Amino acid sequence: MPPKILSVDDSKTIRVLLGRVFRPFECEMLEAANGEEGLAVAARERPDLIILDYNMPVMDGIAMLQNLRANPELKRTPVIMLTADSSPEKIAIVARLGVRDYIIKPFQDDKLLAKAARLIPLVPRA
Amino acid sequence: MSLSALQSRQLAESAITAVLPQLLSLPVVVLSEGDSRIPAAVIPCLDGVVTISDGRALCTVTLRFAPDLARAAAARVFGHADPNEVPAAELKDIVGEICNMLAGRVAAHWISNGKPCLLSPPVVRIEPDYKVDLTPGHEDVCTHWCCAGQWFSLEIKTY
Repeated sequence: MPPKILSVDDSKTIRVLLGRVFRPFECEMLEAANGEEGLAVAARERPDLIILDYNMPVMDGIAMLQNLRANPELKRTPVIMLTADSSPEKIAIVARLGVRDYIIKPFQDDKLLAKAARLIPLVPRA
Repeated sequence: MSLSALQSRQLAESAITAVLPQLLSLPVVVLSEGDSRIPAAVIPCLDGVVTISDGRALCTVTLRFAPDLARAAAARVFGHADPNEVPAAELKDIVGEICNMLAGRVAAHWISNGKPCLLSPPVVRIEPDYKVDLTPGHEDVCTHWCCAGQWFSLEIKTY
């Protein structure tokens, strides 16, 4: 089974760009526009990696993380934060919630892929 | 801690050159005062605005895109062959996201100086009759740029 990657960001621009980055690899891209949708997709699809924005309407990235970590079936899902916000306080909060990496937008494709490849197998499409 | 005009200009230039070429894969050129590519007439704009605050507003970051540039950028990102077919929601999304990234770079200035701050969500609106204001003392916080032959500007106002 190819890995599933869930992108949670209120910006369609970011979701589209992330899809493009991972398109050359065997993986299934999933999308959600806020934390609430993200939790629903995560519960249904059990992604292997979540790429999560911080500031979002309805439910922000921190609340989604807290809910993920409280769910026994999802609590070990690796998460990379992808955000414009470089505040050390926020980085400390998400680190305490087990976030594996923190990337400041705009992301560089190769750096994001390198970080993702540490968490999931990324095999080029044939 | 307010920003001087020089600091605002430097922050704007560093933010734009870090964000736009990478996001759009298009070069950007900063325009000098008096450059003929800076629109002299009233024009429509797509404005993205993010407020940086620490409980009170510290600064607003305003990105102004000529509509043709917003359409070209959105067509590039969303894969539309014809920029005129880009839906309004995608235009707003890309202008808001670019503004968000630029504001994040500007906020890093305060953060690196030990001042925690927050970014508001981007607000994008259509300004039907924007006029570049070249009054001395106003333009010192506004930088003008050209990308793909189209004008845009970034304004940083501190309080």
